[in-house]
Amino acid sequence: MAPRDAGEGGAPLLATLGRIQALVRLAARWMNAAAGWMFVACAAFITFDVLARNFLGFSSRSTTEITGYMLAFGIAWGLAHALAERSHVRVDVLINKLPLGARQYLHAVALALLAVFAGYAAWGACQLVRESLEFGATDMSALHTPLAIPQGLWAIGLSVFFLLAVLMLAEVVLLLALRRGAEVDALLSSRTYEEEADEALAAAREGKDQM
Amino acid sequence: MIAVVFLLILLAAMLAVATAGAGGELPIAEVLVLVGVFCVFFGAGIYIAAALGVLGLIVGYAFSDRPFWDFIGQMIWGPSSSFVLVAVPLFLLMGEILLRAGVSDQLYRSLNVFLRRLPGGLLHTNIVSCGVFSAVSGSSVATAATMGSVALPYFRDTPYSPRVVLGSLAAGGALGNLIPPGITFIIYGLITETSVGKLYLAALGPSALVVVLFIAYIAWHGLRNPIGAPAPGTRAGEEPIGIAAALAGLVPTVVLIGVVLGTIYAGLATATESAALGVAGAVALAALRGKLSLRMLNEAAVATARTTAMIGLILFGAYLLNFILTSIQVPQKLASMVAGLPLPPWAIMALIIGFYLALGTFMEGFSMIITTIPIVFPIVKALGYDPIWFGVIITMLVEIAMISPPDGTVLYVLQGMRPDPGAIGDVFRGVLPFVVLYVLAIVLLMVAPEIALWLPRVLA
Repeated sequence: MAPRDAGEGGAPLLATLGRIQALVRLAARWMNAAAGWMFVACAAFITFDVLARNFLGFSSRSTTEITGYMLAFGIAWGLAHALAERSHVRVDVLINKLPLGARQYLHAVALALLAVFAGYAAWGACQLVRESLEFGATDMSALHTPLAIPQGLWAIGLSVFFLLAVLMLAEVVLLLALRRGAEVDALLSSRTYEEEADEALAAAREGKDQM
Repeated sequence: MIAVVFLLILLAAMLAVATAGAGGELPIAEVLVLVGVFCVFFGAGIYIAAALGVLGLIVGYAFSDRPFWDFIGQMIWGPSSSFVLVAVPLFLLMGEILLRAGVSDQLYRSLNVFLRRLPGGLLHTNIVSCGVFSAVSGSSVATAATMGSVALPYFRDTPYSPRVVLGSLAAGGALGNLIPPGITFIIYGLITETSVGKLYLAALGPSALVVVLFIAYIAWHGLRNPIGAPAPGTRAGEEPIGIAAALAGLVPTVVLIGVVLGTIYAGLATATESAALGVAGAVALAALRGKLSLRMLNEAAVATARTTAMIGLILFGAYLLNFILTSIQVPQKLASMVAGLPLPPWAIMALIIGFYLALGTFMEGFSMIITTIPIVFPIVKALGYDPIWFGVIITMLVEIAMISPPDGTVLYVLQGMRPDPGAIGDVFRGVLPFVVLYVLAIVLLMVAPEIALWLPRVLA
């Protein structure tokens, strides 16, 4: 019962695609960790600034801008991993009730539209960086940071997100052609609230056990 | 299902009014395309961010004669680098650290010592501890799961009614975003350009109102169903703790909340700054309890980054759509049309409230607010309602939606955790009185907006 109509080249192509995707996913995982630690650094930076302003009488006078850049970095560099972990929100009340036959195609459509949106966002971000470079734009803070630096890092995050969306879309299309819809479902169906609850419980248990 | 039917009726009513000529220059074609595509996208399970963004692109290409694509980068860079929004990951981080520091357990045990003698006993602890914990945790589901796992063992082999136990846990968890510092207010403040500090002040009165209503209901329930001697407030095989130990257990959490809220209310720090102080405090608290490690901090950071990316992407989509809609004047025209309807403002507000209750049963809270506020907010302003007041109402609606049978997610989480077998109907019946009280609080707020608005005005 081999899916002959999908072509003999389908499976090896899928394997190659899988290897490339594994690399991007690994990068996404590290980028997400970098984003998380950027938030830790952001908290430390603001705390220091508040304390220094109130007790030592000085301030970096660029907190607003710098922490804004940290946020932009954090959001953009977390996007791809959130996609890999199926964390981006979908309205799935209806789709979860459909049979797999219909659901697998809707998954593909959802991912395709996400890739379109990610593409526009990444393209827009790169345009913005180009403009900032062209005009040598800096912010108004005491540091006069060239905007191209934070915007560039931000654009990298959006571009990796776009790349992963495209790679996953290619895989989904191949899987559909090979009639392996169940794998599409496993790859894309949103996290259920059970998974979310289990995760919170695991984290809380850790707080208790480490005594 | 009830929700979907209500939304369809609302849509039909809107169309009827629009075609009856009340609208005049309303861009019916645009609105129809918008609503139609939106329904298809949502039904098909498209990512919310992609649905908003692609919808924006479609509307842009179809109706806008300006090169809107030149502004996409600037449009999403705005919310990306907003200082107000920085507070969101910081509060999330604080919650993730506290979750891993094991404070939930200690909080529950200590509160028990003080609350178990009231009529209704441990049920009060459910409300208060859930309320406190969810104030620092971004997610209702995480709160329900965490506090449920802590609280439910205490009720083993006690005469408490399982319905009320589960209902009070759900209701307490739902308080989370209303009690400052909730994240919903930050996102609302960002989108509507309202002061987050004022929103936090405005939320105090309604929070107190809802808590008092809940506590009164539980006391009434406790008096009607006495359970004999005060419950021991311990789990099987656990030594009861004294008042001193209980106080010592409460102090760190109370100090932390004091730092976060105190600095905001005293005007010493913005919401973002106090969130950063909250993270520092949470790290100190975790260190004090011997739970601080690089691995723990890494897990908290990674979880924070993921949730922030999720919220951020939806904001990107919403800002893109909103930019294009505003450039072809849809929200403005819609607002003036609704304001010109031959209906009193309170009736329209009641429809808006019904709309949110319906939507909330199947949409996650943040995405619901980000998706709808850009359209609804101009209408509310045109009707003459106070933006601060509406922010409080919206937050309460999101919370009610999370615990409304038969769709509220939190209810299913609790049902999955209960030790005694039983039907989901128990949870539904248990939470229903609390939902009714919550709705009552909203009605009171509509009748007497001063409950929310008095404090920000006096302190302004």
